[in-house]
Amino acid sequence: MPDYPVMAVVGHPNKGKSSVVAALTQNDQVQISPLSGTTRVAQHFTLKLDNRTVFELVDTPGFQRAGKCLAWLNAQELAADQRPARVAEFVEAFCGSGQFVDEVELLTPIIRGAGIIYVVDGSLPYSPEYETEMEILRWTGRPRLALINPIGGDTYVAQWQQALNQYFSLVRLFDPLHASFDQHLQLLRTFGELDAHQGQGFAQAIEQLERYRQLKLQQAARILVENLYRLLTYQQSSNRLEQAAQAQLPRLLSDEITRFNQHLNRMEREGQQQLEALFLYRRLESDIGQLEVHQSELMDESQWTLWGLEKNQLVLVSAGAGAAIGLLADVGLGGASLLTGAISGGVLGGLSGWFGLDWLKQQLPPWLQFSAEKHLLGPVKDPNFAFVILGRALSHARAMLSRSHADRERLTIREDGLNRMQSLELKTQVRLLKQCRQLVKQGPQGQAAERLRDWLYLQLVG
Amino acid sequence: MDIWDKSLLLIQLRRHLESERTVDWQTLHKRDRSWALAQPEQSAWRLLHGWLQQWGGSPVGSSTLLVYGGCVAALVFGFALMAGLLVFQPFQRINLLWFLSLAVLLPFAWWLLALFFTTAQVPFPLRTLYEHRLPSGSFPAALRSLLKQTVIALGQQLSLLFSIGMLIAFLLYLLMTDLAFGWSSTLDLGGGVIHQVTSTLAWPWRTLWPAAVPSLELIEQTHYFRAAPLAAEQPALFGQWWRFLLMCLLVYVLLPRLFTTALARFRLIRMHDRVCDNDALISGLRQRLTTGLIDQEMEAVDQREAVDAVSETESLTRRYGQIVCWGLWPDELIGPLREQLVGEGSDAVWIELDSGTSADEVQTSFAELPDEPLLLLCKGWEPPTGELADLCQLLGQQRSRLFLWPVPLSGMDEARQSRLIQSWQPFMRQIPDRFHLVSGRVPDGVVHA
Repeated sequence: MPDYPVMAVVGHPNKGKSSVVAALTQNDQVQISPLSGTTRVAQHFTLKLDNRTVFELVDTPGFQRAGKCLAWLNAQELAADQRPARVAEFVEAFCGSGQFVDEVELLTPIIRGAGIIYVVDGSLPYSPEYETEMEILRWTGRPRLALINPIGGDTYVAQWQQALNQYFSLVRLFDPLHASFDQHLQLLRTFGELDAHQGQGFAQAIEQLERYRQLKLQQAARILVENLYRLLTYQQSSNRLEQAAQAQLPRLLSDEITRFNQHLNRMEREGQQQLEALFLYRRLESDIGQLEVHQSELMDESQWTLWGLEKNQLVLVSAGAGAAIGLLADVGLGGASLLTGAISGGVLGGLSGWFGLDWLKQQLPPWLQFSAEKHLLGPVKDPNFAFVILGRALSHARAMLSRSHADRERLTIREDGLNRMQSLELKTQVRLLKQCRQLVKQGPQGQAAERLRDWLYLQLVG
Repeated sequence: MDIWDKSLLLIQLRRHLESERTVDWQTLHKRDRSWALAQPEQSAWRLLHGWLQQWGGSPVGSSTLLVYGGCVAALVFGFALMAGLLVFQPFQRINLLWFLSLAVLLPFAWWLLALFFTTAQVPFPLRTLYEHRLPSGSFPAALRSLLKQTVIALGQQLSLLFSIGMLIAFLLYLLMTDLAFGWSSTLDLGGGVIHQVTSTLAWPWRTLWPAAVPSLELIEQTHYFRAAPLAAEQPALFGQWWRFLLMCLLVYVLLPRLFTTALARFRLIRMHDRVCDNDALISGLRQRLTTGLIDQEMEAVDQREAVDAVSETESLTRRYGQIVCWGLWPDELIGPLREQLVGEGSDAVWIELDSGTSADEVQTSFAELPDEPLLLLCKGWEPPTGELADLCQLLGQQRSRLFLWPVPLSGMDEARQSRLIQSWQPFMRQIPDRFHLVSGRVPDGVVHA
């Protein structure tokens, strides 16, 4: 018997056993089908910490011939203490025989020491036929927990609870499609309660999972801030706009703005994919709308650079050079000029830089590769753009975090989530806007980024 | 690992990690953690460096030669400047005004300018130029502030070494040669003005070292003219300026540089920590290297493919000779159904079977009845099981026309119902062909038609 807890997820066919496993192991690659009987063989899912197994779940096929199985078990009059051995005898007798294939698969991990998680559908009525399955499980003598899975509603949950209480020491309601991370942990705690010997193993697993989750949320906040920075500072340069004839400008500009929007959306999606990769959603498709900015919201200017320096910087350099030459003259006069040379040199250098650069620009030969005339689009100047980005990013992150790995539908982002930023307190809105402005200036390593990360982390945790 | 290597490492790490931005975290964690566990105990920086080396990162100390070469060059330039100032003596005197301008005021002005660019958020022309010269895409924009801080710290360090070079040259010349300082100007400045200037400059140390504050007498006695004879009554006076000049070099050239170098290094070290902790990609890598891998391992098994089979369905009619009710049904569901199907006026036989009924019992009960169309009622909200398949096999041997009706649960929404019924479609392939699938709810007129 392994030294870590093993739980077998068993039940009638098509009651969501695989969904429970997918949700608890946070694995969206578990095969889930609306059709019954797709789980043919028991499949083991282990949760490992640095290659050390913390616990194991076994997804099993549903009972197919429970009545006949119980009849076989009952064929001999046995005292209660001999029943587990009788179940083992059943498995041994039919293993590889081609009969009771599903029962053998689902009972094998149990006779090897696995605890039992019995899954039922709370949206369908209880039937005494289930008692056959529950009776077989009782024969195994293993610790048992019943999970009521409200796949399509909770109409019959109370009915099920009354019936299950008679066979199981613990009965819990668990919706694998909508359970939060805390509910997952709560369920793992319940597994620990089920078997006192294995409680320590589950407690350790819960502690590790909680810490792991916390680290991932911090990482998510970092990704969100970095992506926000990239989007807020994105600038697109184009040579063809600068060179185009006046008549072609409107069409070219429209093309450039479309390209700008496409790039913004690509960057945003890349950030979302980074989060999805972090939280192990491999098949996620979201229905969030496209980002779109218009010309009026964009910074739009022409820029000439020489060796990468803009005009202002070149003027500064020119003034500095003038001042240095003037200072040499001052030194030449033994300081008697009282820095007049440096001051006048600086002013002269600055003025000639300011007025002369435009002239110089015309004189430079076209092959001079370090000189470039560019048309710059962006960054987006509307301060609300930061709010839009934050709102969209948070909505996507929240929708993703509250989604179970058992859910195979498209990720739905609620519209009101996108407007959530507008519903924040005015004081908070002002503070966030200020921090976004500072983020653009200081970069992702600045203090504003730190504060934004803290705020986002709290939003994700909440 | 020195701070320059750390900066370089962070930039290279970021550049490498950009390509893994959207790769599945679990895959990366598995790869990085298993690598980290195989490494000997070492510092976090060594670990990061070792990790990068797997992908062809530059070895530790790759920036050392460049930085140390620059440091030596700065030291030599500082030494050369000072040596030039001290050796070039056209009139056997070193003009204090020249000396102060070039060796004290110019470095001090340069320091102030650097301080302005360091602290004020204005474009830093040298950094912009440097970035411009980097190959496109070679520098991660998210680390712009790290680059700025590195360039500032490097600039401060080179300037400090330049100042130290100047100081060493000054001290060596002071010790080894006979330096004669004086002052001279074409303009009639007068000793008073020079005294005022030197007193102001010497203000920081006038109480600490009064001997390093030039007196008016010294200023007047060391005033010389190009046209006047060079003979001096007290030649030792010309050497007394050295205390004042040494303090000027220390206070206005070396100390500010020392302070800003220490500050810049401190800020750079803090920036390294910030990047390690806050950069989305680098902190992610550190997290993967240092935290235990929680991994969900899935055993590879060959599960049954979901068959999306479609069987023809028939509507419910009244022409059934026998009706078999499979399973245990709640009375409130089966009662009205039985009433409708075998109520008054119907001669159909109603048989109830469940999983407890043996094959012999089934065969016996059907052997006595004629071969008439048989309707098998099942709970449509439950999936078909192997036991039902076994019963169908038995019935298939007994009857030539069979109908299987998964009865829908009243009150269940259509979409859910149709999903549940879907499971019955592939089931029809597992049972004899004689079975026909009946679909739909109980029609009102079925009995009385």
